[in-house]
Formats: sequence, C-alpha cells, structure tokens
Amino acid sequence: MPNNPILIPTYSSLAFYLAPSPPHPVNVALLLTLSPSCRRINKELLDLGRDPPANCSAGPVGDDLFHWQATIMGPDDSPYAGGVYFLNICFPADYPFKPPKVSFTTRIYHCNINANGGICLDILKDQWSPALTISKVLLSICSLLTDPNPDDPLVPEIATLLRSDRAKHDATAREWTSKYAM
Amino acid sequence: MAVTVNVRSTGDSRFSVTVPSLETTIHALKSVIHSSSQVPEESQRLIFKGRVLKDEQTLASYGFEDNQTIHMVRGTASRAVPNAAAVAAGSSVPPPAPAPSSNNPPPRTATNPMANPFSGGMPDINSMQQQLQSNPEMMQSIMNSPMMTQMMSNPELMSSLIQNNPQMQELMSRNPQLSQVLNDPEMMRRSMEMMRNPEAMRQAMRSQELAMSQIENMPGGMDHLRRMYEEVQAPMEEAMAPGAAGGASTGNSSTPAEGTNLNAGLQGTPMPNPWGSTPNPNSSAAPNPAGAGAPVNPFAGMGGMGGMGGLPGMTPGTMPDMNTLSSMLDNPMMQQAMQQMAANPQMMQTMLNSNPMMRQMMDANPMMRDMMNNPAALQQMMNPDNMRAMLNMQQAMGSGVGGPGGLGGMFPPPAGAPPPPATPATATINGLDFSNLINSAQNMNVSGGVAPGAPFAAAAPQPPRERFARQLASLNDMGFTDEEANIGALTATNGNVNRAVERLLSS
Repeated sequence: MPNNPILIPTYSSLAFYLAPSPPHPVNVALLLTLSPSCRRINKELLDLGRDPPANCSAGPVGDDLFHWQATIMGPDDSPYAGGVYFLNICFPADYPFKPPKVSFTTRIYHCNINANGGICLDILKDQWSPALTISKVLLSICSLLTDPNPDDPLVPEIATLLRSDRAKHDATAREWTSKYAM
Repeated sequence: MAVTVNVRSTGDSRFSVTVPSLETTIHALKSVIHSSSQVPEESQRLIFKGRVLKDEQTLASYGFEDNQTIHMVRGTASRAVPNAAAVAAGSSVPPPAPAPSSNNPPPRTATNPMANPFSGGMPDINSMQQQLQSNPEMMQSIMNSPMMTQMMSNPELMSSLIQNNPQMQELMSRNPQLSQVLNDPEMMRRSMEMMRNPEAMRQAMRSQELAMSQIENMPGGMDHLRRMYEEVQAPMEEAMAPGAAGGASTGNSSTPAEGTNLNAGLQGTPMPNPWGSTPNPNSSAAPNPAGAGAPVNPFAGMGGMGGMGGLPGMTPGTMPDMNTLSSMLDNPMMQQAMQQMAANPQMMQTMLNSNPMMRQMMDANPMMRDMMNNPAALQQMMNPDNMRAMLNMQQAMGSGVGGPGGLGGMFPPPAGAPPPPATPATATINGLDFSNLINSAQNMNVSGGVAPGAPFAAAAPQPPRERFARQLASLNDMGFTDEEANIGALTATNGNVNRAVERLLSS
C-alpha cells in the first residue's frame, strides 16, 4: 500500500499521544476527551489500581467519577488494628484546586474524628495543595490513626482522656473497633 | 486467559495468585488465596476500590483488571458483612431520649427516639423536648433520621398534624398570618434544615433572645410583646398543651392544667410545641431583664426565624412610633444583631418568605424579589443610617402607618439619598424610589464585574513570566515542571490554568 501523506502525521501524533504510558493506551485516549478534573481523578484511579498504598483502597461508588468510597485498614500499631473503616470521598468540580471532602462512614473512637465522621486534618482544609492526591490523603489519615493529635481535637473529651489515661483511651478505641469496624 | 491478582495484606506482605478468568467468583478467589497463604477463607476480607468483595460476585463485577492489587484483611469471625454491628446497635430500640454521654454518643444510624411519641406510649414529652433543646447534636441526629426526613418532605402530613388539633385550628382562623406561616411547607422545611445544624440553631437562639430583650427595653415595646403573647402565644400554648398527653390526637378540649400552664409560660418556661425548638431558658446567657414575663415570641418556635422573629411581627403594629424605632436603631446591640442577620442572607430569605405580606409584595414586584435575593443589597439596606433615612422619609410622606406602607419601609434608598421629588413617575410605590435602587444595584454589578478583569487589563505589558506567576506556581504544584512549556501554554490560554493543563497534557 503506497504511503498516504496524510496518514503519516496522523499516525505519528497518535503514537506520541500513547507514548508516555504504554500499558494503558485505551485509558489515555479516554482521558483526552474529559475535563481536567475528570482526567486528574482518572489518573489517580489508575495509579491506585496499579500500586495502592499499604493500608488503603479507594474507587468510584458508581459511574460518578466525583463520588468515591474508600477503606482504611486500621494500622497494626494502633488500637484500630484489625478494623476496616469505610470513608466517603466527594471531589469538588474544581479538583485539584480545592480539597476533596472526606468523611468516615464507620464509627471510630478518635479525638480528631467526630460522630458524624468529620475529620480534623489540615491538608483537607487550609493546607490543601493541588500536588496532593487521594492516596496521600488516605495515608495521612492512616498516620492520624496511629498518632492522634490531641492539640487540635474535634472531640475534646477523647483528647482529654488520651492525655490523662492513654490505656483507658486505647481500650475504648479497641472496643469500638471490634464493635463497629470488624 | 489467566488473570494475575496481587494480594496485599496488612504487615506489608504481598503475593500474587492466578485465577482462570475475570469471571472467577470471589469465593473461588478466596480458596486460591487460602491455598497460597494459609489464611482460612472465612476470615479473609478482600477489599478493592474501597469495597469489601462479596463471595457471590465476580472479579469483573468490581471492575477488576489483570495485575491489579487487592487488599486482604484477616477478620476474626465469619462476619462477611462489615458494619453489621453498627446497624444492629442502631436498630435496637433506644431508651426514650437517652442522655448522651461523651463516651457513648447516640448511634448515627437509624435511631429514632421520635418514633415513640407517635406511637402514643410516650410518658413525658415535655422533659424529652427540654433534653433535646439542651443537646443540639441529639436534635440533629433526630432531624437527620429517615423518618423525620420523610415527615418533613411531606407537607400535607405536617399541616394535617397541625390542623387535627381543634384549638390550633381556631387559633389559626383568628390569626391568618400565623396560619400562613404554619401552612407554608417551604418555611417548615427551612426551619427544619436550620434545626439540623446545631451551630446555626444556637446562633438563632442567641440573636432571638438578644432581639427580644432589646425590644422589651424600648418604651412601648413591652406592651407590644404582651399583646403578641396574649394573642398568639398563650392560645398556641394552650392548644399544644394536650399534646403532652396524646400527641396531635383530636378531641382534646380545654384542660384543667390550663392555668398552671399559663403561669409557667409567664415565667419563661419554653412553650411546648411539636417542633421542639423553643428557646431554652437554661441556656439564656443573653441579658434577659429580671422579673416575670420574658414572653417568648411565638415565631421563635419556628426555630429558623431566629433574631428577625421579633421584627416582622412588630412592623405592622408599632410602625407609627417612629421615635421608638429610630432609638432602637441607635442601640449598638440592635445594630450588632442586624449585622448578624445581614451577614446571613439565608436567614433573611427565610424570614422574608415567611412573612405573608412581604411575600405578596414580592410577588407583585419581581424587581423587589431580585433585590431581596441579592445579599449585598440586603446588607446595604440593613445599614442603620439607611434605615433611619428611610424612616424620616416615610414620616415626611405621612404614609408610614400600618400595612404594606409600613413594610415598604424595609426598603430604603441608598445612604443619604433624599427622596427625589422631581421624578414622581418612577418613584412612589409604597414610598420607595425604585430608580435609585436600580441605579445602586447597577453600580454594584458594574464594580463587581470589573474587579476580576482589571488585573489582566492593567498587567498586560508585563512579561508572561511575571504576569502568570500565580498560575505558574499552580502548574508547578501540579507537577508540570517545564517552565517554558508552562509559560507557552499559559500565554496561549490567556492565563487559564485549566485550559493550560489541558494543553500541556495533549502536547
């Protein structure tokens, strides 16, 4: 078949499109048709599927790319070990310029997480940066489970108990873990 | 075609298993994992994309693709369904109005203490209401419960609840305004939403009490409040008193307890009402004057009305007394309350919508509606200077008494603008000058529109690197480190970061 002069640039530019990430040509093509926030969220989804962080997992609830669910497995060195915690994630339309809204749907006894599942974490509020990803956010929440921050509590009573009687605090946390998260 | 499944379990151990196809069930996958990890099938909990995988589903149904990673958690027992404990705890019948302690807050699931009063077996609805009021979180959880939501979304049910009470009905027929408020589903819904938010509710209570005590301190204000109490609240309270015994059941005539109830009301005990949002005297840190009779504004019962509650009720009756009003406006506490209200357009809106006269006026004047929807304009109106100017104007025009004329006073022209007698054609609907208002609204719009655009226009001569410094930083944050390319993309897209990202990704 003779060389078609029109085909050549088309093909080369197509190859160029696909070059940066060969394992997922279909998804990259799909990405190009979406809005920037969709594209960014899709990319995070791909990365999570390929190499998820140790204790976390996340993905869209249904077809809506902006509404995810996530799980965090209680870290071994915390009173939440053995528990599986479910979270709700909502991406704003201008993600990644605004932080995602993340909240626990499983009850947890933690001084930075309230009864509605709200999380007191700086990177979900004023310290958000577009360079952060859901994976990093979930890892931060994991480390919050290991190291609660009683200086900036959402539930002051738990923070007080954590300071005054760590053993009792941990016992209650374990009890809640087996009650709600196992 | 064989599919590789990477399994990652806690403690950083990972391994891979191979299953025949994506149509493999999770149960089959678990047995494969069992053979290579020795973890019994029933204690495996597999998690993918934030979901716990169910035995009877297939890998494909969860959108699993070859070579992706699944998390495994070792459970203790064979409780495949997570959260079962939570659900069970929630569905067990809670004690009536449990006093929540910090260690044991009420379960967030379908707990519904309100279910009890409607079944008729509730012994002490009053104490429950008080407990509810002193605990906004609890109130919130009740308001969020499915049953409540369902009830709220059904305006007919609400109004039938009210109208089934004969005394309530009589009261409403005597007070058409009240009936309008009670029958307005929108208003109900808003109030409920307000109650769902403990912070907003507390705020509303505070400003309510503040406003009440202010009005009481005005000469003549007390009389007005008393009139209001006698006409509206006391009968309403009477009407609702039987509710303590049997909910909203029909056939309750006057009760022997009437007298005591009335006295109790005079001492400031919260009026029992079906929405349970009367101000709690225990929490009244506001400067309530000592002595008997801090009458509770009936509109306070609606929760959402908050601080404005006192004003709309007051307008038709006491408007003639301009001096009273203007001295009220001078009071710094009042000004503070007004500012609070102005800062909360939602509340203003609710208040305006719930006032029948106001609504009529808005319906008649679409322009007015637009104004009311504009928070900036509202804020300007609430400015005490403006209000005073308007009052003077109204007095001068001699139309300030009662009815829509009095309400018209709510809409002053911009500060310092004297009533322009030269334009009688455009002016003078209820004594206010629309042309002026429109002008000011236009000014506001113009300045609002120009502001964001201005930096670009003014900064045009700068080199792109400086001009787009902020956008460049954003792009850098997002991982686009090639500055030349970034500048090129930003120049081409005129500084639109989103479009620049699109361009960078596609180049």
